[in-house]
Amino acid sequence: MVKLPLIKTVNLNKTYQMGEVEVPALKKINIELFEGEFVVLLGHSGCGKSTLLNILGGLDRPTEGEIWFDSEALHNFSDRELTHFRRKNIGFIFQMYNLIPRLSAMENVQLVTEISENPMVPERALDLVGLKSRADHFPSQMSGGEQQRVAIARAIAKQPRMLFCDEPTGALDVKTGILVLEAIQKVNLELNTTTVVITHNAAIADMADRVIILVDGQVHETKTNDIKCNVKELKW
Amino acid sequence: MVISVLNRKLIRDLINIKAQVFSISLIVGLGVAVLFGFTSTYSTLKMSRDYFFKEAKFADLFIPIKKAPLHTLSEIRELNGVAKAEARLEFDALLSISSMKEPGVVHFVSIPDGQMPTFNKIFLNSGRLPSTVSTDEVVVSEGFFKAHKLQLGATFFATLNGIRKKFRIVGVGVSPEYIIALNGTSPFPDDLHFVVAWINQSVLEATFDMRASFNSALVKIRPGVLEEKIKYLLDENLNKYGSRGAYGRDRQISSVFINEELKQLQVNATTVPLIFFLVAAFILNVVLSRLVNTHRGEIATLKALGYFDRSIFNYYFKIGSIIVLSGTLFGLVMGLWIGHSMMKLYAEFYHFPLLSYDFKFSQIVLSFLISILTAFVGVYTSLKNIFSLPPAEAMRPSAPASFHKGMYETSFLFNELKMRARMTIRGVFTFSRRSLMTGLGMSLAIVLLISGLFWQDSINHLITAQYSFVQKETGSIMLTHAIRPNAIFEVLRLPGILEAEGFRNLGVRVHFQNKVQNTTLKGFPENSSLQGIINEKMEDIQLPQTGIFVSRILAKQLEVQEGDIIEIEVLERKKPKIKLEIKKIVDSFLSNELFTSRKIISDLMDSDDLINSILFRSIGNNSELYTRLKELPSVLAISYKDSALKTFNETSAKFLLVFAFILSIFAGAIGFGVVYNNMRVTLAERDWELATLRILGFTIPEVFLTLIAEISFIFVFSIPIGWFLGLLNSKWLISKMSMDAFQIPFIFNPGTFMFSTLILLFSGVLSAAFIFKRVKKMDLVATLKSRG
Ligand SMILES: Nc1ncnc2c1ncn2[C@@H]1O[C@H](COP(=O)(O)OP(=O)(O)OP(=O)(O)O)[C@@H](O)[C@H]1O
Ligand SMILES: [Mg+2]
Repeated sequence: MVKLPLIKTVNLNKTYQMGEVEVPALKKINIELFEGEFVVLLGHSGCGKSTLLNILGGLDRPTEGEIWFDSEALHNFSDRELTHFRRKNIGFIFQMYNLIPRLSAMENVQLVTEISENPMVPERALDLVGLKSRADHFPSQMSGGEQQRVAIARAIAKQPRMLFCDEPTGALDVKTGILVLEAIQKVNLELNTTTVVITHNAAIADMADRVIILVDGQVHETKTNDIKCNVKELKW
Repeated sequence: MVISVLNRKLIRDLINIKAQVFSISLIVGLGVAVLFGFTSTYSTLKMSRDYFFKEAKFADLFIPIKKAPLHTLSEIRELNGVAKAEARLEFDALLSISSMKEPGVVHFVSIPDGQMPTFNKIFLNSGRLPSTVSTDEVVVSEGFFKAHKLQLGATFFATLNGIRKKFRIVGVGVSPEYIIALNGTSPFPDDLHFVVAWINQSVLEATFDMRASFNSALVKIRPGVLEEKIKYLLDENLNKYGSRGAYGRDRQISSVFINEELKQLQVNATTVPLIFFLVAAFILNVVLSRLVNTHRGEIATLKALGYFDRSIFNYYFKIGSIIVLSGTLFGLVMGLWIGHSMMKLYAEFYHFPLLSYDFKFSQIVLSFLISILTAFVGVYTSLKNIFSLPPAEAMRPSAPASFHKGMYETSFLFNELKMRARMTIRGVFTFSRRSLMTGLGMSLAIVLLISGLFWQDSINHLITAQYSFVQKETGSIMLTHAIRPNAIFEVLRLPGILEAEGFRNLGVRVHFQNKVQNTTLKGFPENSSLQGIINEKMEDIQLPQTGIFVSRILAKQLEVQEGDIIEIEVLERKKPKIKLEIKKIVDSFLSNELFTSRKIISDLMDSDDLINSILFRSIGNNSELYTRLKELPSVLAISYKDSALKTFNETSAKFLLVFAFILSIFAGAIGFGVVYNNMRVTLAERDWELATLRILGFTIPEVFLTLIAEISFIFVFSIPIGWFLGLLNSKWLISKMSMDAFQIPFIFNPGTFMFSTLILLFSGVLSAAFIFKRVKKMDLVATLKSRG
């Protein structure tokens, strides 16, 4: 059986213009992500991980090259189309939890389910991250880890095709980080959501189906893990 | 070294908030412009008045008399408290001049033959006084001379005592008595149809058979003597000669108008700038608080390094000062322009010997001081909080506002709301000081508009009411003396006349308890259709068979009520007295009058039924009518309602347009200032949240709406508050207008309220448009990173 990629880039370039100087952030990136895959993106600081993820998620545009989602050419999308693409297909999680402070945990999730075509019940999203009991709490009343799990619940509540996490545990201690990673893994397994996690922590790579390593804006290496570890089995 | 680093930082800070800097400067500038423009206009006008009154030896008391022998003048002079007194003759006459078809009124005032009078001196602009022996030379008032574009040597005709005579203009001048061209029959100044002509005493004496007599006296009071006392003494002494009662400058029409104008300037010069400075201080607070918050860390570090609060304060005070001072400079220039323009406008109505705009150095200093005070308040209030924190705590970012569910959320309705609506409502219900002040700022802008524009509504209403319900005539003819009513038939025969009615008006003195007022008792013909008497609802009321009606203004002056009995003393002939019951208080906006029937007057005077004024209604081209009217015997003066009304409508429309435009700019600037700055700061504070919404897949318009929803809420609340405050303020302003001459009703015109709302809405939409551009350009990734 030939698996078709869910999203695919062709010779993707991203160059930042800093006055006179051109800073190449991504050079000729060709990658494919498949349905239900768990991918970890590794690389030293400044190698272009975030840039790549943002482009894949429709937050940013490539300077050159193509990016295909199913059969749609994202590189030709207008701002408005990109917004709708995100609304429908993408869940983002960032290092800072960026919840809306005026809304409770439940309401942060509802914010998204309200505008989605095929959302899950908000309670279920919170249940998946183990925070059903904190539904009525406001962000200021929760710890960092809890907030990040609410962010995950919010990201997956629309049942996105892809979940992009940029250093989701970066601001958390190990124990809390594990809880967050568990939640991400659970979503990946139970909902079959294609998941990409950016991390500096090579240990996390062991829970991935595939590991992509970027060096200086180029794909340096792609490794396939034969055995995926559970989060609990990771060696920190 | 630190200083220069800070200075560079200061410039960077200013550039970063340049749009905000501009809006605050603008508002400070407008405040200074009004403050400086109005105070300098005030001082110029006041100085001109004081100079004029002093140099022209403007009298303290004025006594109109029927006819008194000249020797009484020495009796007046001997009265205790009288410094000086002078006698003269004054007569109205029908004016006819080739530069205009219709007749006008010439008011002759005598001067000692060929000499300048001792009081109420004439300031000659050009020409000279009549020569000692001349019988046809006159000096005329400047307004008329200019309005008719006359040359020295021009002539006009006047009908004096039934005889038409030619007069030659040998001089042009102004007098403190006639700064404004009002002849008492119309509330509007009218330089075209009214002229004062100064003429040799002997000419008037001969023409009016007044040898060794006078009918007008002017008195200067000794300093420190009570005016009331002298008035009383004068009335006692002159009653037997038909004195109509001495009155002071507080009733002298020219002086009253100038004083009212000064009073209004003073009110405007204080209240309007106050609004601007308050708003400016508030916006400064909003903008600087935000700046201080982003500098939190640096400030804490400086504090930890041992910098005093004072040097930190100085930094922000410098920013504030630069903003307000640039505004002040702009405001001073604009204030100069305002002052010049207002003086030019005044020069059209007020005739002064010198009326050139000038300002005082102290007014500039005052403008600077108030601006700096504004900066100080704005800076101090935004730094107060951070100073109270210990450095360690200040170094941490300020705690985000914590939100929770409010009482209002228990309602079923709230649960139906979308999440973004909930965000808005929670924002609104945290009642931040900024929201409250923004709302207040918008309300104030509306108050400013309403209190500026309602005058026009009220005056328009007054004019409409007066001219469609009260004065229904086309014109009126004043007769030289009382004659039989069949004279009306002569008028009815003239071309174009549709209706004519005869009235008999008497000069009377009214007594009620210890109050006394001089006024006119108007005797109406039966079933008058040309002069209406109306109540508050503008309904016609019938004249009583017995008793009298009192106009509301007079009722206020006498403090009488319906049912009270007042005593009326006629100031003519045998001076009969009568006690009459007030049947009704009626609405006549333009005068303090008494109304009764002609029948009651003839009974009172024990005479036949007579008339001394005729009202008429006419149609068509009036030029033939004008000529024939001028030829009628016994005509003292003719006045036309239409020409006065037309002039008034034209000037007031022009005024309204300019005034509405200026006020709209003022209110618009305030509205824009508070709304734009509120949005800018809100955007800066919530950019991260908005970027998150965008990332979650909300479109730009959706995110934008979320941003402006809160201020829209505040907007909607502040509008009715502004309406309400505007209403209160307008009523207060009207109560401060204490003109004796007429009473201004407060009129609620929904159009004015809608207009003020639209102006504010416009400034809100404009601010929103600027903010929309920013939301659209927002870099999602960069915004997220900024808090990473
Ligand atoms: N807005 C920008 N303007 C200019 N250069 C940028 C911009 N954003 C990123 N870059 C540059 O592009 C390169 C890639 O940045 P990116 O943020 O993708 O790195 P990263 O791999 O995510 O690093 P880190 O692990 O530190 O987050 C870097 O060299 C960075 O300096
Ligand atoms: Mg990164």
